[in-house]
Amino acid sequence: MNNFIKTLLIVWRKEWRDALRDKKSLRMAFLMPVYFVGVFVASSLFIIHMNQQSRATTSEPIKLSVVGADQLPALVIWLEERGVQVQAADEQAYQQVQNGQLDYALIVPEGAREKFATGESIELALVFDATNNKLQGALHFVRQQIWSWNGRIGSLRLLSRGISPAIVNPLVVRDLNVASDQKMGFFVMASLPMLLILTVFMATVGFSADMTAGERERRSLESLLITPAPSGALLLGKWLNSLLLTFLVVVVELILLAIAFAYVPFKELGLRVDVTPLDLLLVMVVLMSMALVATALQFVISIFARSFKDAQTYMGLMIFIPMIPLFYTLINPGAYADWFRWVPVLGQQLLVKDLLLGGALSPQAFAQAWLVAVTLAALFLTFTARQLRKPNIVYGAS
Amino acid sequence: MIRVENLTKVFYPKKPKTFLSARSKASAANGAITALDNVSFTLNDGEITGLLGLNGAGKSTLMRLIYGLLHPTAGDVWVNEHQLSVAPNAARQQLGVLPDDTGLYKRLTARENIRYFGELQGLAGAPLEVAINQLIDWLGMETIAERRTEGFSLGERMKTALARAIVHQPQHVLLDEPTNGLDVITTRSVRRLLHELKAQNRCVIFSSHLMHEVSGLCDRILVIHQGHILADGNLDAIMDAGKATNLEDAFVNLVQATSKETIDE
Repeated sequence: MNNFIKTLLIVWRKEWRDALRDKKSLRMAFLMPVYFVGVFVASSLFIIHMNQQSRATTSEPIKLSVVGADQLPALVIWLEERGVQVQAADEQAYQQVQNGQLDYALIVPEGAREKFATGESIELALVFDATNNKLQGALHFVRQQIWSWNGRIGSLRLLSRGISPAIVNPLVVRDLNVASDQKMGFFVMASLPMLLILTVFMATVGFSADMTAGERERRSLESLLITPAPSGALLLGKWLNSLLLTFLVVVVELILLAIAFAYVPFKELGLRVDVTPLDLLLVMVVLMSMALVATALQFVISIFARSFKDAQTYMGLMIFIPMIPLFYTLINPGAYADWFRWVPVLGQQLLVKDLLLGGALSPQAFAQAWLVAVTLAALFLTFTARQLRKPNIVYGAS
Repeated sequence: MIRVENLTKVFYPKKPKTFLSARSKASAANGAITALDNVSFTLNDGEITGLLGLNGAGKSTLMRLIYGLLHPTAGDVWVNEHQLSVAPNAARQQLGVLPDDTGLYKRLTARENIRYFGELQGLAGAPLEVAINQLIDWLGMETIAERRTEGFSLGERMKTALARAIVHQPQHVLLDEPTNGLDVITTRSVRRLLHELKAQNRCVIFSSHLMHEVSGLCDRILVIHQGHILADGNLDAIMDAGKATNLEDAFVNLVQATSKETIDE
């Protein structure tokens, strides 16, 4: 056993040195977290920007040009109280809206003052260009204010005549708006576990392929296998190298994420992101369980590949394995069953989501994820080690 | 001492799929190639044995069977007291092998390549460094030892691979076409090394299809053709068997006689 560990460490040391000198593969591996976090930050900022823009149109004071404002001072006061900037406009208002000089205008007819005093109905005209989508928010607001003033005055008139306003208002609708921006923000946050898990699967694809299929292609595998080193020690040494590199890539990614969390104003999305260093550490623990399976899987696949290129093609297809459960949960965000925790990828995704978005955590869930991962990785690695010295692996087709 | 007993290796064409009919299975079996047919011999310590044969005669297959990466269809190999099919790792420990067309780790230096294999063979520390330095000295690799092997010439690659194969000073040395494509100077240093190994009472076997090399170096020659050993003995014995006065004519006579037999059959 001692000899086994010694050989394992010799192999790992050599592969580690080899990997550190492989600048191209290193660059590819460590560019991935930069790229992923970059995409995440960019999409978050984009949604925040959209959010701010849509709020700007409602919070910016709405300017309303009114013709004959002096005819209905009570309405004008009501509108001003609601934050509308009322501007006087002359008789050409209709033409001005038509020409695009004014966005919209409210026309109060002559004699409105008298009609108001006597309790008659007044016909107001709201002039606007319906093709101008930018105005929808403002118009909607103005119209709503006019109607609510209308309702108020109507109610007052009924009350003064001793009638309950409820008789003419059988329904009162209260708007409860679930902001869509917030939903988008949630969507972005929910995609984060997917990015992290994909990183784990992809980080060391090149290295794993290089250490197996690449070694065969360069014809050094045969010499390696002629040595008395146990197959298991050779494989585990190589696997350890991939695992360690995956670990480093994930560490870089989490550090970048921590920086993103600190500087991207997620509050603007109505999302309370308070991810502590401890949370990130736990995310790391979850992701490493995933890394056990992912790197072991890389070896299973690349040991059967005929060449380095072949291996990379197969690994590209391997990425779809984690994508299946990830997309399923992305399409059905509410879907959950207890057995999800036992499924590799799904279990880890749930845990990362809970950690980042603040769900209920149980130590049992961590144990489940690790138990499944260790078992799977052990199976994959034992299987691969058994193949290593078979003639069709060493010499290709036979 | 390496003892080969009744070694047979048959390569079958790709396994017939289970859904194929019985008849196509039978025809697939007919496509089998017998690379080695019931071969037996014993290689002694302190001798250089040359394995002489045409391309595709079964030289590499025989080598691969001896170092255990191919499994024999029948028969077995003993390396001293270790039976290969029973204790492959113990047997491998006593073998130094230079496979046909072997590759190096191009991002490691020549010295690091050699050291890695020394460590895998269980060497470490000062004894390992002494062994490495000695090989570098013998093979004249001083100028390339600290260079990364990427971009090495064929001769430089071969020297590094050779040093890597025998860094653990194995009792048995198997070299598959070690001088293929090497220039005169490099060939000479390889030859010098083989003599050195012989002087140390090691068992050396190398395969080649170059007559002058085999005749100049070997104490014993095995002529292999179509999976059979046609002749076994020193240079004189081979020339007797081939009824000729030089190795080349003797070899050609032997090989052609067998080929005729197979045609006559």
